[in-house]
Amino acid sequence: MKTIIYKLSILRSFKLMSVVLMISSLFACDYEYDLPETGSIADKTPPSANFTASQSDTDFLTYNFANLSNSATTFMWDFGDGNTSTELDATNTFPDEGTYTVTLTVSDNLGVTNSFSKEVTVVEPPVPAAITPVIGEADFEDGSEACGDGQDGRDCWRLSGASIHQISGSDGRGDTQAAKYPTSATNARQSYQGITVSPNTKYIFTAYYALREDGDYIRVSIIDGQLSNLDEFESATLLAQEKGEVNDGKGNYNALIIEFETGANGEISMLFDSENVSDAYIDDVSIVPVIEEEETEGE
Amino acid sequence: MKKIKYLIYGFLSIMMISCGADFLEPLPESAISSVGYFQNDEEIETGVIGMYDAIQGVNSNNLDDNFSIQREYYLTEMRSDNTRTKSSEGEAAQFESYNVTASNGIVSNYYISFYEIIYRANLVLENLDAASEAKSPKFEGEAKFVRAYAYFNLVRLYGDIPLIDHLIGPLEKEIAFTRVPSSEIYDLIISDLKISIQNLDNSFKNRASKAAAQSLLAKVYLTLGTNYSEAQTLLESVITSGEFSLESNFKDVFYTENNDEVIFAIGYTSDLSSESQNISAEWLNSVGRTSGVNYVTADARLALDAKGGNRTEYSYRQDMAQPTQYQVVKYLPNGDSSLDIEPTSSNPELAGNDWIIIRYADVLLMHAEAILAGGQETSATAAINSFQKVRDRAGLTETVTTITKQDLLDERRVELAFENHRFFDLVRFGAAQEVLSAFSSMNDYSFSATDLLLPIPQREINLSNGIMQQNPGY
Repeated sequence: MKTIIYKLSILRSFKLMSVVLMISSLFACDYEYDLPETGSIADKTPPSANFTASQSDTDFLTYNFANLSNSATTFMWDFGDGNTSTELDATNTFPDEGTYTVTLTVSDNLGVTNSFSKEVTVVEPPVPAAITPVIGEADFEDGSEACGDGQDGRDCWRLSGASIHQISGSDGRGDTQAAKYPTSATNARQSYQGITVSPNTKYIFTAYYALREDGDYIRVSIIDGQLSNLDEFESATLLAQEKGEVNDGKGNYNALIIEFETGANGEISMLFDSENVSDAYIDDVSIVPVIEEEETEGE
Repeated sequence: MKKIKYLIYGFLSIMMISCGADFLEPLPESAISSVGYFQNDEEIETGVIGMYDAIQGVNSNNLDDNFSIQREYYLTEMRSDNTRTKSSEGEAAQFESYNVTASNGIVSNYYISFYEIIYRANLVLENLDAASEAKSPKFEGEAKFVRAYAYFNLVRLYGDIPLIDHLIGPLEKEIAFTRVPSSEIYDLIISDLKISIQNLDNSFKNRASKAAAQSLLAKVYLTLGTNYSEAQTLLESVITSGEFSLESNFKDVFYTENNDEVIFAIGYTSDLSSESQNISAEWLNSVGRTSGVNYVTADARLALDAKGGNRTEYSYRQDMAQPTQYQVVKYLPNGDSSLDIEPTSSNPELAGNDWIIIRYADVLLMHAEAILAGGQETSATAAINSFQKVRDRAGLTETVTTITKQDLLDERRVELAFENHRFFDLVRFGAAQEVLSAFSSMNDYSFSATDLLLPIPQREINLSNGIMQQNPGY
């Protein structure tokens, strides 16, 4: 450039030449400023840091970190517990439960850095405890507001299409209230309640019953799912069904115990019905999960 | 003035006639074109068959052809601890050593193949109006199953991907190249599969069925880890349908086409270049075009020897030509007399072995997985029943009382070895990073966490003109 301009300037006046020289020198300065090195361009791919963390199955204090950074060559992990690492994908075992701020600082070969932080909450995964269902008016006593404010010991046991049991004032266990079933041939009764339990879990159902005539029975059905009308009972899937048939006379209760296992559905229900010529009674219904031994992983 | 009036009428009528689409865009009479082709059930059914044809892939060695699932094992088994190439050469070996590049031809071939499947499904869906009332829901169910199947594989392999749920033109670049969050892809998969379950029955094994859609949706829920009880219910309806059962002899699963264990398989016909596959010929020594791929790793042999039971001999064998190497026995095209397996075709490169995508053993193991529900162990009776059935068939009849997550992962590995499940299983169980980094350092490979997603093919990124960004690590 400069040589061409110089040659041109010989043919022109000094005045013009000095102007041209001035301009060209200005340009020259600009070039020098813009291009520190030949062929250099701006860093269009600065490093960016990113990672995810996942808890180990074998030790809950240990986390595996997946490095998802872009355009980075060196890595500096700070796990927030005093431990550090320069690995690409790092693993860290935290000293104890708690919340730690993990920071990944990355840089490329131009020395440009970027960092990313994330809070990691270290907790021992809880062994999911099975739900112990709440049974409303399990003892058929009045005065509970578990199912509406009627305070009737039958409110929790009603179902459309069913005739609710009667209440016996003092023939229950311990001379309290109980559900009473008059003769089924002319006056059949049913008691129904929907409950929420854990799926795929073993449970024990217990109820107490009293009969007054040989050949009579009280029957309970544990239903997978819940009913909105008694006419759905016929096609319902049963988890268990059992009869109580021991006749020891009025006021003498026997336990009806059933073990059953829930399926995918945690919404189940129970339905009592009977076949009896003389009065029959039910009292004190409970459902509890089966406690299995072991289950204590030493950590 | 009167004449002008007639002239105007005349011009108007000419204009109206000339504007008719029939005149400007006549349908060819001597050939078939896509525009206006789908007019009745019969023609739409050819479009439906076309979708399965796209999954089937082209049996060729030309990278311009869509190999589709015929090369899926590269992206799944060879990227897990199950298999590798025999010679560690070329772009085929990038998978086993976790050095996959964005320009890898197999990666982009699979991507293109699977978007072709999606295109063909969208084509059927967009022409449903022409179908009869009786057939339309069936076609819709099949197309939505196929679309969900393709997206489910793509989203697990590539991460966030473009969501194309209708026919698009070549200029709709924003739709074709914008990567949407994988959660949106999963939303489409779930809603598609729900419709398939509603509309389909179990009359096909080589085409979509209700049971196939139920099993696939269950696997989607297990992958997302959000809806275990729904997954369990879906799998139980497959189990209680009574239409499927385990083959008593493990070998028969692979060498008796459409047996009771198969829920969904891609059909192939031997010795027809247009309908056959070259999958398993490539797994052998000097039979296919490669020097041998999908060879069994020492790691997989150890697992099979320890836990395979009577499945082991029908899973891998020694390469007689190179005794230090081991081959897959499932899907052999040219038979094995010592294992009493007949050849399925006269030319092993034109093999007719169907490729099983969903089978009953997978359903039973998923059932146990759904009950485990992300926990570490379960002793629920339903889970143990399903798990025990798979073990009993393998001759491992000792009674199981609890199943741990590790038990289930190990069982899946040996039961479903070399069927393109292992990689997805490791990811779904959250074990991929731990297992594959250990495997990688033992074999001097270079696994890092970003290898759990494949690169978006470089050609897509180039064509997108700046719309598409690459996955980290590539």
